[in-house]
Amino acid sequence: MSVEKKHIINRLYIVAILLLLLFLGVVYKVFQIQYIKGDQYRKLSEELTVKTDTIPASRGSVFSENGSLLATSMPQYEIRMDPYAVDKKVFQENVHKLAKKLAGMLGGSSQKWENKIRKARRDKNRYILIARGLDYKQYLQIKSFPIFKLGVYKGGFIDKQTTVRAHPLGKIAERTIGYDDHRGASGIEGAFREDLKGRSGWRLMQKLPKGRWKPINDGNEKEPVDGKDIITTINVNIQDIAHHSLLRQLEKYQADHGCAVVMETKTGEIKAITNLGRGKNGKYYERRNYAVWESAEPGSAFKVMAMATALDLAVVDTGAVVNTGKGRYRIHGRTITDSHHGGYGEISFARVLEVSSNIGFAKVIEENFGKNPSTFIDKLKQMHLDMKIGVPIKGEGTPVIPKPGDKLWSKNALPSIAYGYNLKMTPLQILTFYNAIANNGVMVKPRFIKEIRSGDKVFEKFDVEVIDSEVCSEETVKKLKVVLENVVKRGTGERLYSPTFSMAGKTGTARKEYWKPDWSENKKYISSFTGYFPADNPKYSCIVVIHEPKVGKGYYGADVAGPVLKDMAQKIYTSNYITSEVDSDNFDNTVIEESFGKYVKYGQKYETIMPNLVGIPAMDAISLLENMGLNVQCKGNGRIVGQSIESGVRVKPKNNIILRAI
Amino acid sequence: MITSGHRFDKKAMQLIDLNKKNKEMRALFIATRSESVKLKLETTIRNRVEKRGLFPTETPPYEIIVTNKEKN
Repeated sequence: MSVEKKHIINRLYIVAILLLLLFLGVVYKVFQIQYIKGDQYRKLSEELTVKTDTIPASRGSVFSENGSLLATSMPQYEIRMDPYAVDKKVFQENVHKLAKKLAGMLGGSSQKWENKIRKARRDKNRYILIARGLDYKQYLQIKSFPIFKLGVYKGGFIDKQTTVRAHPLGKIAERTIGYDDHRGASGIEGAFREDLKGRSGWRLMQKLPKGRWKPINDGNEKEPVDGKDIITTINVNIQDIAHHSLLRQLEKYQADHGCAVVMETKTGEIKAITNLGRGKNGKYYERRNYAVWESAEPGSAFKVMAMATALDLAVVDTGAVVNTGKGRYRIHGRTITDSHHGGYGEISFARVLEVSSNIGFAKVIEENFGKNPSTFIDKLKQMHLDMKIGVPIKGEGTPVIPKPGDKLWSKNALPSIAYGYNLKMTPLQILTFYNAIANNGVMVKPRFIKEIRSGDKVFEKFDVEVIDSEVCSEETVKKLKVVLENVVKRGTGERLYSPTFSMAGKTGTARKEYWKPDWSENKKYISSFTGYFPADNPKYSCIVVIHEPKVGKGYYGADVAGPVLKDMAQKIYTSNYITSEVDSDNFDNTVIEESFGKYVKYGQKYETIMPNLVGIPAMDAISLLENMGLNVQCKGNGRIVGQSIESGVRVKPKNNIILRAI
Repeated sequence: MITSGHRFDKKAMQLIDLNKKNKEMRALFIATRSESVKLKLETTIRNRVEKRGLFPTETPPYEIIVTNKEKN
């Protein structure tokens, strides 16, 4: 008996010890979890339920001068579908309707769409692509389609939103507006990236059911600072005209690429800048910022700079007689030719520019500066022609003007420079000089930006920047202006002359890659026109450069590039009123007052009965009858002499009536 | 305590929904605005009315100001 009792006690001891060990084990584990690995577990738990959420700052937008959006961040949607999630009955009933709608919106046949969706359902593909790159309006539209309108769980509608940089005006000025992404930082977007991007903020978030998160604190730990908006100087209307005008000329002459820039004379504000290059498919795109980047030989456009130098140094006057001979002239072992067969003979220096004689310029400059070319080169430099303008957009081309002793210098360098070869400038640099002439000698810096602002607050304002208040003397400017106006009136730009509005400028037809051995078989030209308008009181200056027009179609600056500038000048001319004042005492109003009185009376009296319209002005008669709801056809103009429905007849809306007027 | 917590969650959810709506409204604004900018362009108008035989004018409009010296 006692042996048995002892056994039980021993077993109890064993059980108690085991329990104690278990208890100690639990206590140790609790201790370990709480203290030894406590920090690690607490961190893990926080990571699962709490996160640091970055609040991205909204990137600023780029606006035109009159508030049109040029670039902004907007959501874009990718739509996918899980056809397997849709109820069998709903699917069978609606899949055809859905396919039809998708075909209508996205293209392709409805059969193709139906097959695609049915196949995905059979294959249990739960993530088929429907569309990419939809904007919000299209997103709303697609969301309302049959099946899709049932939502994520019943309709298998999956949308993914991303924010993209959108250009509401499409391809227009795309290159100047630029981008700031994986491709790099170009254009205005790149130049002002720090202002545009803002600063991200952050906050702590706690996990909620359904995968949502809520902020832990009332405020953000760090508030985001939204990017500032950039107000550019671009005028959407002028830009639109420039873009389409340049495109038309490029297509007409099947050119390789071209650019057009319009600048406000007094302020240097760039109102339009367009750069188009031909892609592989033959269509034109904004490929590179040729106006800012492409440094090339300016050709005849540079003759204006050469003339300014000669006039300003008072070595020659516009009236001086220059013998241009018979169109061929040999200097330092090289032959120079003029485009006019048989030459121009003896003409004035002003006429030399008007007809753009290479021989004339080579002779005048060589005769006056041949012994001391540095004087000529130094003057060009003094006129800032060897300097970059310093525009904020990356990649401005460097101008090249060689001086005696340079690698590029030779005996022929001086006469070549005189008519625009053996040196390099970008279109924007050439335009800056022409603008200075238009602006009475004041050289202003071209500007793309007006303001940096956030809401109503202006952070930075960009004012006129004067590079040189007197790039050449007042007298030189006056003379140049007269000659440039005459270029269009009776010189190489004659075809652009319009009796209704005035413009001044200089054509340019430069040979390109003429050093290549196959040049005579494969001639390449750069056609340009640089000028300003109106000629007497310039408001805008403009440059158009077109590279490699198809020679068979034409290559002269006045034909290829000139029309773009003319379009601009015409557009600006027609968008301003011509005002004239008339004293009302000087003319008799009775006729007008009489017919107006009749018009008002008839309008009040006749609603369903046809009035007698004979003798009434046609425009009044049409208006009266259309107000009665009739379909009116009027032959001739002036006063009504006949009507197809007799007076006094009852008429109903939509009845047809024919009027005759003389 | 629990009620207050729930109410806070509800508010937070509301906030998320409103933020989403705000984003969507902005998207709609931009989409409409860009459409209107395109429609306003002279070339768009030119192309549309070309079929009807309308072309941009080559001469500017005249503004005639009628004054009456006697009354003044």
